[in-house]
Amino acid sequence: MSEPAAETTGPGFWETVRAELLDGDQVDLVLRLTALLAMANAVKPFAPKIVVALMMGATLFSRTLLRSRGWWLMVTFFVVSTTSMRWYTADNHKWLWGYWLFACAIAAGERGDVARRVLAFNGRWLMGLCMLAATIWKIVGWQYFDGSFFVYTLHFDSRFAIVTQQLGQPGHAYQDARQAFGRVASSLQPQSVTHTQAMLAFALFACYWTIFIEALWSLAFCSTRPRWLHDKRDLVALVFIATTYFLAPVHGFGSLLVVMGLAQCPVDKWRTRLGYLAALVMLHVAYPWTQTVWRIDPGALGNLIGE
Amino acid sequence: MPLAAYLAPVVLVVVAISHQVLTRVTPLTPWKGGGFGMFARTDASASRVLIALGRTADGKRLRIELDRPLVTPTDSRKLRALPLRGGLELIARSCLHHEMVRDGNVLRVPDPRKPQQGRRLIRLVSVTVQVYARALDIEAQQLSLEPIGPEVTLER
Repeated sequence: MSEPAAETTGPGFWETVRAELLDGDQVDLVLRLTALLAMANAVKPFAPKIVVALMMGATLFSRTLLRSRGWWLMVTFFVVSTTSMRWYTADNHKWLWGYWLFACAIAAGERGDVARRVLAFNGRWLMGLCMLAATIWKIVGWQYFDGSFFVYTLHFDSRFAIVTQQLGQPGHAYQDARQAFGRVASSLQPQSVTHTQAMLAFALFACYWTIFIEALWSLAFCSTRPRWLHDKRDLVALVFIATTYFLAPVHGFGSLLVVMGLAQCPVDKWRTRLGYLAALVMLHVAYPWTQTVWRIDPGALGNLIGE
Repeated sequence: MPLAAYLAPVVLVVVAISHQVLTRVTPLTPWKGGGFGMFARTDASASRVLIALGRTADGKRLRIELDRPLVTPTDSRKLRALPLRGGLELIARSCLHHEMVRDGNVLRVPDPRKPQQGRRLIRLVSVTVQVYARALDIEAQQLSLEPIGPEVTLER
């Protein structure tokens, strides 16, 4: 009798995930994630969104299209044209999508390590430069140094309603401010808007924190000096994503930053790469839920919790 | 790496610098135009308001409700993002061209589908169009309007 064959066990679930997501073809992973996210985020108007969704959907299922430079250039041209024609509604990240899709087109036509280096180079520099431009804008805009930008945001951006209420703003004062926003335009007369000291203090903190983290981000990505900061650039990016998009519902921008972060992250840093993937899940699963809560009318929430 | 691999960051820098220049020489909002100026200042398109004031033959100066057919929502959005003289003049001309009815303190183009029941049709003598941005003075705790870009006045 022959001995029974030794029981062989295949790789476990996490080993498979790791192998597929982290040890597999990194260029394919980044291109596929880009295609997946571009379907929902690259353009805003409905009709072009459908076209991009179909093109990127086809890219997900065809490796020929995935590695076709001409195909990616077509998508890039379509996205950039749409954004340019609708410049008056296009958010910052729609432009960034155009740049990134072009980088993907160049990478898709290359083979081996060159493709990976094209994505890594563009990921790092696009991340660094867009945040550098954002930091410069916040400095020259001159509304961050006295906190007035965030005081305004706390008053008039409904996404921050809960924060505003937590900072001691009574419900009637919040509603008055919202009405003043409309009334100032209809009456053309100045309107009184009151805020608490806590709102002012929070606004100052939020303003300086934002400038600090964005400046740190741009320095970490654009410069290799100081070395320790450049080496920790992924940590800076993940802290920024975790803190910013918890409140700001612009996960389209956050997702693109995550994909570019993944593209520029060295292959051997598998924990960091996993961090980026976790951030992506967080942006699409956890944060939309919290943002739904943020958007609840504070008056309605007050009634709900019996205040 | 191929030379084209360097193109995207270069274009980003060129667009960002152009955007900085454009916002200084034109009333373009920092939020639009690809310069990454979102969340930098409060004068986003949504905070801006397009206002037209009409003067009637009896000297009254009233606000004009800017809706179709005077201006389309798309043109209104464009003008709030970048209020240029040409676009504002088109609206002023359109206001002068249409007969209006008074509705409280507002003038508007009558809806042809609804009977106006003896309302007097008004032809404007002059129209002033301007974009304003809401501005918050945190010391005075006061919200007011600040003019953005050119003020256009046309007379009949």
